[in-house]
Amino acid sequence: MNTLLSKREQLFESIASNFEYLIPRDVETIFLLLNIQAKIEDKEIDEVFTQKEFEDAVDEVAIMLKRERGIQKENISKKLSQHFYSTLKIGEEYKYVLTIFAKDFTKLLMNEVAPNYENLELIHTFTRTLPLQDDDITSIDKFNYWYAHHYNSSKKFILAHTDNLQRFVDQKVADLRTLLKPNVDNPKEMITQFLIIFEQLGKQTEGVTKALNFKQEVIDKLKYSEENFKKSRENWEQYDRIYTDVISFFENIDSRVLSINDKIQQARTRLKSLYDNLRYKQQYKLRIEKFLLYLLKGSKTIEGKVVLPSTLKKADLPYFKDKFLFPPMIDFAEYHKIESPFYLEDEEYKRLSELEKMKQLARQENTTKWLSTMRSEIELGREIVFEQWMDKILSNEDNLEVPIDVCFGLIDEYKNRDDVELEINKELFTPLNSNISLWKMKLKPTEITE
Amino acid sequence: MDTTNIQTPDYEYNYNYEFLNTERARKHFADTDFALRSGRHIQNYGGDFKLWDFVNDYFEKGLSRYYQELLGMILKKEFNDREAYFFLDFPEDGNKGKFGYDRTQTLDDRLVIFAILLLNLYKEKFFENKEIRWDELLYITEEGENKELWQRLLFGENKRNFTPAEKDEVRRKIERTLQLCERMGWIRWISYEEMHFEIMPSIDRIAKLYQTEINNVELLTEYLENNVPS
Repeated sequence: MNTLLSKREQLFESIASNFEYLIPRDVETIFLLLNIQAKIEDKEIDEVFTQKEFEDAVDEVAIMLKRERGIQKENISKKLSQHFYSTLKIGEEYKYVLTIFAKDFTKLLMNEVAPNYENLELIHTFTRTLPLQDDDITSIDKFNYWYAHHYNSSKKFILAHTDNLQRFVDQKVADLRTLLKPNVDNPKEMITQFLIIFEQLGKQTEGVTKALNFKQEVIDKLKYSEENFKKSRENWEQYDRIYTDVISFFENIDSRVLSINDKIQQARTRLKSLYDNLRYKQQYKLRIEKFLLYLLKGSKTIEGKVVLPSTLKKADLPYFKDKFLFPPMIDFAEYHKIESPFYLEDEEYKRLSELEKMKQLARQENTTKWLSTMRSEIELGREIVFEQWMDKILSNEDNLEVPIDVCFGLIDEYKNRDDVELEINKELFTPLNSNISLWKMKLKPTEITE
Repeated sequence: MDTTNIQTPDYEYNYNYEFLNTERARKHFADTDFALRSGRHIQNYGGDFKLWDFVNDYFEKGLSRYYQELLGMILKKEFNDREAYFFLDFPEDGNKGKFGYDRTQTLDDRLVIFAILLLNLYKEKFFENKEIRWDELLYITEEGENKELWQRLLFGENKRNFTPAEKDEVRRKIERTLQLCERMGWIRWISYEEMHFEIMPSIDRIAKLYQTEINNVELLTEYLENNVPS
């Protein structure tokens, strides 16, 4: 393990010391690499190119980047010579060839910023690589080979494609917000352009979905082949690991493709509806923005409370909820049933009312009990830190009203007493068992000196 | 109308509001009624979808008449982005129906500002789903183009750095405001702990409540600018 770690460290150190040459950090060098690779692909120069062709490519980059003084050819050549090109002596002439690393590097860059969907013929890749042939499941070695060389390359391809697609869709959806801005030039034309982009993206997603249709075939074959690997524990473990990996990969990719598709469909539908009422939507959105700004500018904060501009009317909503403003006073002595020929007693209502009254009584009783306990504590000269008691009461009582009643009871009882100091700190705290916030309160017994 | 299994021996058929005789009314009327009376906006989403179905089916078959005749209130159906939502409204300005002033709540001022912010975000996300995470709200109030105004409103002052305790307090305030929005059906929590929620189509109601002001926002802004204390 330690050897492995030290090897890894050595490798990292070697990358760090060569970093400047491994990853060019100036735009000139990157442009030069991309330019040479593009020229080779377009057959403007050969794979093996001359010093002059190299220098011409440098000059083109200088023009592209508007570097009036040109680019130091020796410096840039030195930087690239370590990892990006090899020098060949052909006859009397020195020629250059890009390394595989340089080619992969430029491809990675290009694919990252402008994925080429048109050429990603996923379906063909999958028909060739993804399906399990009967021969692949005859032995664990062949099965491992399929996993390493066919399945994994397909998986890498699907993942890269899905990543790019997702990023691209997110970016385009974000770009759509510009359409709602009021000063867009020719918005209807822009909508049409966006519709075309999303149409194409939709087709790409369909491509991934179609490619994934192979998954059921693969999963079925994997399932049926399990018998082949049951005889040896080692084989079974390898089979099981591959099986689990394949299933979870398909599940993951399925949900990602679905989510991409949803985003595309939503954007397309919205684009079509926007086409008809764009102007109105832009104006309305702008008005709401302005109204928000007006509220932010015109509102004040007075003693921690937000107050809207006085010109604004208050808006009311219906709100009907039973609430008890005072502890209920129930006088059973005076209670008698109203005698009326028209009076029909609702038994269910009566039962519920009695239940409610019993609950209120229990609440009063428990409040009194807690108050009495706390009173005894104070009489013994102990300090009452109400927030601690609040937690205690809440964990015992299944009713928030009890601690609140206790709190008011305490204030009422001790607010004018000389032997107990009531201290209220207007700092909010939230008890562990509740989501309401209260001020902190302390009751301290004091010694009275006569 | 389906009236099976609801009659008790003394059951008297209700000819005035026939929908009350149905099995569906037995199942969903009480919850729908509680929701509407407590100011909730009922939409075809999540837990509310059964109530929405019930209101939508009986809206014109006695349910809206029921509220008008017995409570003096209007059961309204409004649309936002083609999504219908229902709520109980007062018959006209100043008239509170049978609810009176006791059973009315005035929208909290902070809630109004946040509801307008949510409405703005809803419109901004026209092409996307309407999910909001705490980070997005934080960005608006701490980094956005109107951050000074937000800070003045939420913290009561502008300064370079706020203490963790001050920030916690503001988070709690916003959380409470969002809880109110949730109670009214304007948002739905995806994860309450992470303050991750979705803005619902009924957020449009705040625009209905302040329709005149939104339509005349230029005048209001002009008035405000001319009356700013120097």
